[in-house]
Amino acid sequence: MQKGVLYGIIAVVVIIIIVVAAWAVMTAPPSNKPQTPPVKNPDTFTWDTIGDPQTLDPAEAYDTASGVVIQNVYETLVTYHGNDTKTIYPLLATSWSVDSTGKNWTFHLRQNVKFSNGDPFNAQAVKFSFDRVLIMDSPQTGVSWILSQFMYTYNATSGKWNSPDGESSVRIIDNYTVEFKLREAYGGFLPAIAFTVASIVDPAVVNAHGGVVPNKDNEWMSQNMVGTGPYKLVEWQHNAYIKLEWNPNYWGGWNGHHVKYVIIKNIPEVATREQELLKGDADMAYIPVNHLNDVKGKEGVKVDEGGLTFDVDMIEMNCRPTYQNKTNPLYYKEVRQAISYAIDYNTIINDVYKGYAIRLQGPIPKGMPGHDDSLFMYPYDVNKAKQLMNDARQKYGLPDTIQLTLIYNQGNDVRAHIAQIVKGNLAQIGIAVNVQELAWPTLLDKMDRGDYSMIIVGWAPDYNDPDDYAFPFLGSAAIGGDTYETGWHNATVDKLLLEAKYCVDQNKRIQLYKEVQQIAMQDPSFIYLAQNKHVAVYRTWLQGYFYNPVMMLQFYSLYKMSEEKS
Amino acid sequence: MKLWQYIARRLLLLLPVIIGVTLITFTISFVIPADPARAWAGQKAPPSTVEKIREEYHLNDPVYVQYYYYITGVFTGNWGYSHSEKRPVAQCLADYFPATFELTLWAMGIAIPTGIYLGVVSAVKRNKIPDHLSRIFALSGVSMPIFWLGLLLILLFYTYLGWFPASGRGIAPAHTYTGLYILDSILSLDWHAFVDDLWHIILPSITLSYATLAVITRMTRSSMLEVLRLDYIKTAKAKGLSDKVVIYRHALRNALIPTLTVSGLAFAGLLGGAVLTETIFAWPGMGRYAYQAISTLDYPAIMGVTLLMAIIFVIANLIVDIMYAYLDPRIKLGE
Repeated sequence: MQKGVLYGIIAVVVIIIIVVAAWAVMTAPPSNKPQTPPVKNPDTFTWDTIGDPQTLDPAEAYDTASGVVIQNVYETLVTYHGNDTKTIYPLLATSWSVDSTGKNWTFHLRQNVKFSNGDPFNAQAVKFSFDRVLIMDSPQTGVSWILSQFMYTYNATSGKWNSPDGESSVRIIDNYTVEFKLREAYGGFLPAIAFTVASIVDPAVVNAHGGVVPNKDNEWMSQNMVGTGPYKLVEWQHNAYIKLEWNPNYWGGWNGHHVKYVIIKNIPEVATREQELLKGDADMAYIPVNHLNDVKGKEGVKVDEGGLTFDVDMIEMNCRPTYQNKTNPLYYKEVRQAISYAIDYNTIINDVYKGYAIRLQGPIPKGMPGHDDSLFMYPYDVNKAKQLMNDARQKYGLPDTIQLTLIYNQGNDVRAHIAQIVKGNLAQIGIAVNVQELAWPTLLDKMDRGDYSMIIVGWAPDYNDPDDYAFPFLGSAAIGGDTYETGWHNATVDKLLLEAKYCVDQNKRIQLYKEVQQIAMQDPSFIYLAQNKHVAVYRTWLQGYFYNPVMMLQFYSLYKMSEEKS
Repeated sequence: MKLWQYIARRLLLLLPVIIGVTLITFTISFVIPADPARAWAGQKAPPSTVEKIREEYHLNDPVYVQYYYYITGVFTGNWGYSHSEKRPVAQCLADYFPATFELTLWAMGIAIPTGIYLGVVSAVKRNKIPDHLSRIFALSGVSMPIFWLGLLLILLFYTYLGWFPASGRGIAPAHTYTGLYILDSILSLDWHAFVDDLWHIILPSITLSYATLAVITRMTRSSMLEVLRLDYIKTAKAKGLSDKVVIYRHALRNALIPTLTVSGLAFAGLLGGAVLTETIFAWPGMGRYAYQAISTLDYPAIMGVTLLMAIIFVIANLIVDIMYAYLDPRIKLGE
């Protein structure tokens, strides 16, 4: 039994060592921390992040994790460069022109481009890719709506295109020229076709693996990729990692500094991501702002506050006359204005976002075309809010204490914190807020049915155009807007939004959006809270990083070099 | 009753279990006040897409019709479509189940022998230092949160000692036969993957095993203490048998029955409850998949995981029952 005794003792000693060592290490002064190791795996970029792609098929993908991979393997006709969101640059198209109607676009395509399997890129591939999106019509995600806003759609029953001549919008002029005959002259056409849904796929590969079937996704394409971009897919272990490697056929070439291998790891626990970053096994890690202090100031780690995102957070208000068969106080403009005055925006920005956000100025975020720097923003003015509430009570016979619910999605700590601040703020003006944390599917259901008072919501860009924000937020359901089901409806705004949507004079569009925003601020259906700042956390040996709010992380520009050499 | 008859009878009982479990889970899924079609399509999807999904997946039909479609699908090998992963549930389970199964096997491989050994030592050395130490060890196992233990192990063995990696399953073996990386790497003679995968499984399997190890230790100790008091042990000792033979051949065999019950249930429980360990160590297993399915109302996936778990529980119990008969010949199967 001597062995048994020994075994037990060893076990207990191990436990004690673990606890004591961990405690000692955690409380040790910074000078005892390990030194920065030399550059690890110089050809490989390892990114610890969260989320697994839902699908790798650009015709179906509509989530960020999918978008990152797609944008590094596939390419679109046009794109953005660096952190510039103002200019559209050529990618697979080298130049383009548009006629005076704004409906007919001609694209000249890049020559000598090959897919990673060696197949040639040409006008046929462009037509095939756009047609495919509209024929498939993304049965799972609906992402094809981005193209069907302005292109002719496909009638699966008749097998014909809904165009005057029964043909699709994309016409082949010659092997390297295509013409887009649009159904509508859409003001955001070029930004829209810079989005992943407009990626060019290899017709031969698609046809060899199931082809294009109306209203049906392609299972093979959702798991495999053959693109013209700088990287190709090597391996996708679901919920674990995605490996990419350099595409030797890439037309952009491999001169200069580029990482040749990319590993995107899906690590749900932030502490694990932090440790891998600190240890240098990850070159970049997703660290939420409330954990930034864990990595700030650590040797070999850079916290890059790279500018504003187009990710916005708001509180939507249900503007319908009744809610749960009772008079809805939020139906009255004065009540919504009072609420807008009663919110302590600065406290939310400083305490909740820890300063990693700015106040959102209206529906169109700062940096996006159509944003109005001079747009009125509700100040935090409790007296004004009280006065407006008192006026509303007298005018509409509202009770002294108004009961409202404020919903946010389960597990979202930021929104939970906002909800508590808003609850305190609104109590000051006689509004009793009942905060509800609901599972995401339940929240969406309530939103869809208009069964709510207020919901904290967020929006991220599909593409860089004000129509992608103003239309779904402020357009009424009658014109296909009101994604958030606020029930808000303003005939003038609807008219202006439709005019702006199909206006190709960009200066005129900006004016139209200015008018829309001014009306929307006077009769608010949203409380505009925050526009998030971007924070990237990576090793100091990682070079070539830039942030663009309408693009995914571009691996091709990245390379690794020690600080001394760089 | 012959063994094969007993096994066949028990496996036949799976049928009502499957119907019962799926019926209950299906009903619960529909009590949740939410629109699955909207949840699957996403917030930004246009209403026409949501409506198409409703039609395609029969969501406009009454619940019993939907259940009929589901259960007939299950029996014909179609376990439905996982909307959170946009691929068939069967494919998802084929990816995630082996990961969790492998982790659980290793965890049980650590927990059962260590737990039994510590339990025996503890009982034999009752109220002596080894017993106290073993009991402290067991107590900390049942009371230490898995999450905390996992993070401590990462901090010590990954960050500061650099002995083991912190995340993932390691390199996928050259060929996939079973989905169990370590076994597959041996079968593929891929030694690079074998070493890497072995290195990756150590911390998560220790983390996952600790609570079970502690329970097994405590269970073995208490049943050993009972058995050691029995007359036949005294007789064995009086006959002059060595302590080792008395303890391991005579006492332990009888004391193992309750331990076996606990181990069987723990094995099945770990398979379904490894979500915390899988989260900390970024282990791409079924626990995380189930969590993801629940939070997105991906009920074909929820059904799939539940169904698989039910089948595993039944099989685990069957194995335990067969082992009872092996350990104690007085127990007759099927009577």
